[in-house]
Amino acid sequence: MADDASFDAFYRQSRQRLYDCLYALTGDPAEAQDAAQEAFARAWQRWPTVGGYDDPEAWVRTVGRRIAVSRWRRTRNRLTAQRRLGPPDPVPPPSAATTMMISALARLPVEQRTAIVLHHLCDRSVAEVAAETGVPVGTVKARLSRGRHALAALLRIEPEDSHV
Amino acid sequence: MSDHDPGLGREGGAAGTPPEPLDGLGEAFEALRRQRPPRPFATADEVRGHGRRLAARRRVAVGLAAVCLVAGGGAAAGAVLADAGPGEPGGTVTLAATPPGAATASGATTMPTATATPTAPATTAPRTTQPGTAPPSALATTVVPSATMTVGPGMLLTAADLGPGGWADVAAEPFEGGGDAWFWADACAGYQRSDYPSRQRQLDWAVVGYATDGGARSVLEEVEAFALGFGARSLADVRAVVAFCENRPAFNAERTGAGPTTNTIIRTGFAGDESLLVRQSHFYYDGATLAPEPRVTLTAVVRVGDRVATVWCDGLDTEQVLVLARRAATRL
Repeated sequence: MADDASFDAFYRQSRQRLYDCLYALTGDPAEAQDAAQEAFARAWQRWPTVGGYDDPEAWVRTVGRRIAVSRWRRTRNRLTAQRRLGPPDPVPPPSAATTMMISALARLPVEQRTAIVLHHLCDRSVAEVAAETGVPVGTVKARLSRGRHALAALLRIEPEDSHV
Repeated sequence: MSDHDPGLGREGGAAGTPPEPLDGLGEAFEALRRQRPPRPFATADEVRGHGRRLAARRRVAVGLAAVCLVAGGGAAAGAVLADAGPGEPGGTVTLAATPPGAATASGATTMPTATATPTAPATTAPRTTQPGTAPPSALATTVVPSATMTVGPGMLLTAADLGPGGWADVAAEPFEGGGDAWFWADACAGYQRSDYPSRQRQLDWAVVGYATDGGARSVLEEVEAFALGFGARSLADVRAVVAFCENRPAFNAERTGAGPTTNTIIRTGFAGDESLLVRQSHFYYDGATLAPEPRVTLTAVVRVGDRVATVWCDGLDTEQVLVLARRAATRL
């Protein structure tokens, strides 16, 4: 029961953040929601362990990210232009700003996109991004710098690159 | 907050150390926060229930995999590394050698080779062994990676193999970067790489794809090369994942009305040293409306020695898929 309560609190606190991150990474709201729910289900399977981590959200985010970027799933969906289980309820369309940002992110190489999203949307430090993606800090900095410049160009805004 | 509240407010505090101040991109990122998902979030009860079902299915599938392996005479025997694998954080698999996304002569995309960093000796007793099955020593073996086990361009299906119909190559863009490339990794929810020992012994990998009729007919082929003896283990792993995903209710099925996702082996022994034909069926949304019938695709898995071809076909009938599978076997 204590496990139930702690998991439920964790789920309610972190589900929106995970969804936002996965949506930014995939550009597909249905894929992002499926991946997020699946990641939380896996976390519950291992909650006695995962719940004891300093940062269980990092575990769930990593699992969700890996599910979301499943290459076979994306390829099959792209080939068949087929929607996965989608929204039965009408959802307001995303704002123009959201659409522009999602489109711009989708044009970045996946490594740059991942670093950018983890750092600027999921609020992870450079060191934490390095740990989550398994690359050196210097590589993360380079990806952030290149990604920010590319993103700024796509969005026609001026980046300031002093902090990476 | 209600469990069904989509949570438009930013829940909880920022996890970890916040990034340093943003420049003009800040507003653009803010636009991405607090997005409303397509459906209300599942309740915590539903997520826990799903997790429990996954755990129960995993136990059954792992038991079946062990039984399949023993029934196969142990030819595919292999050590099971007791690591988490890339399905979960904390695994010890590292990427090495082949640059990601490197193109082959055929335009296929090769993937970085997964090299397991053992966390235990290769003779570690498999943790999947069930009571009544073979003792650990029967499954443990020494892995002998072979430098010659690669996937050459000539081993992949070509557009000519698919016959007339204007088949065009499809770009392999999604096959870049990290993640688990195994075709069956997303057959259904609950996949864990560590349940399938052959994943740790993949030596080379390539994929090609073709489509025609505006995507109404598509073929994707994945060819993998494994360490000595692990080709057969790979087929045992496919059987296990198909058993695990045999009949899985769609997430939130009670709300959406979607039927189950199914995976069924419908034929065996039609090509190569070993082969399976798997029928996959799942319900989907056609726009905002649930399609009345599930989408059905066929996937052939063919093994020749320690090379395995997986041929996924959409819009092809069984006989056409079998023809392609035999061509794939010939190319291996």
